[in-house]
Amino acid sequence: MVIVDYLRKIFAVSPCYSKNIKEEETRVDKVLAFLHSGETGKRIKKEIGLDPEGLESYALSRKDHEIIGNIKKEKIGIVQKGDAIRDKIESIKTEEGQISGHFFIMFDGNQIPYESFFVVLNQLVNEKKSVVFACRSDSPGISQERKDIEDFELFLLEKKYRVKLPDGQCGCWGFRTDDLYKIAVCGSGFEIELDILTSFLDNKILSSFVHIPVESPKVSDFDPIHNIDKMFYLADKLRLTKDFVLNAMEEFETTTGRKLDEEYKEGVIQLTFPEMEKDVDRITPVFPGYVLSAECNVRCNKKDCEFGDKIGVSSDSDYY
Amino acid sequence: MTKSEFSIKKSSPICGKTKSQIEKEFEVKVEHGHNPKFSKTKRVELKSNTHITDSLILKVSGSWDKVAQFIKVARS
Repeated sequence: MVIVDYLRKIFAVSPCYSKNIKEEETRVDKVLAFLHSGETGKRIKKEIGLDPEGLESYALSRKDHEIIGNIKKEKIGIVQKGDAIRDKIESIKTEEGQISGHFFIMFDGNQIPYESFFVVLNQLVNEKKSVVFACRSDSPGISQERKDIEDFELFLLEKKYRVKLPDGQCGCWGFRTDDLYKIAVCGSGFEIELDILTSFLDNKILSSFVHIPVESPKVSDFDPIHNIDKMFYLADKLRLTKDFVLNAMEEFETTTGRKLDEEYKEGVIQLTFPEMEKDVDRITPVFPGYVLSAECNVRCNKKDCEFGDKIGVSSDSDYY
Repeated sequence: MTKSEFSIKKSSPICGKTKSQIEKEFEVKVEHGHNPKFSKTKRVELKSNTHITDSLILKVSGSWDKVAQFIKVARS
């Protein structure tokens, strides 16, 4: 028998942006239909043990940010995903006042199977994890070039935090709202997930990971320029110098035997890095003395991966 | 009491109705409205005689069935 907790809320945010407005509207309809279906309500109660009435859904569409004269929107044709999620987090904080004890889940409305909502929620509620990131199973849902770049970004995090992470940018994650005040979210675009991941690491909170299957989106809003935006963001946040990044790039290619996209490498070389003092590229491990390793570091080659298969280090408190 | 925030479709039959009419008809509470054309972040409590248009993002609350029903109509 499941004991239902009637006090907890679930804030479910799903960005549904697409360059194709009709596609975007369809995504919003589907996400809302899923979240507020009778079946979802029953599963929240029976499988998760929460009251479905505590669900608050936010299907984000371009309309939410349709400001007259929005230069950003005219320029790139889409809303900055990070900005939208950050706005939503802030508005939830403001409206709720006291936000502890609840759950926040984000899942992309374009390529994440809705089942993942339950997988992440179950980890947060029943497995008592503080932060859960979904990671891609065998099918990455993105091009090999982009996957290599994302792995390189994780490699930089590994160097900074001395922790191996299997993924962090597949578009599905959640956390307990108790930790919301510990993190300062400032990413404005596709770097939002790296921002959240690193913000928790800065607070010595290690994420848990669950495998999910990710579909390839029919229409992707991702542009290769976003990779450079992410690099600038990481350099700024992790205080990395250009020399450090270029050396890491070489090391990544040597150790993994994978070649990063030439255009990306050229972009990083051309990029003006944020200015910083001379000795700040000294890397300080956040978890000194440990090199934490997720069990499955080759996230997409795990042939026997089952849906929702748990991998990696998951305890938030075992390491400090 | 579940809540949901979403944009209203132009073709929806709720466009043109007032907030109070909607609350009475669908038995939901309109928590606030947000017109992104004027402000990215400002949410305001709508007056009872405010007409709903497709420019608005509404946040509604109510019982599970009533909110689900309202979403269906507002997104139709």
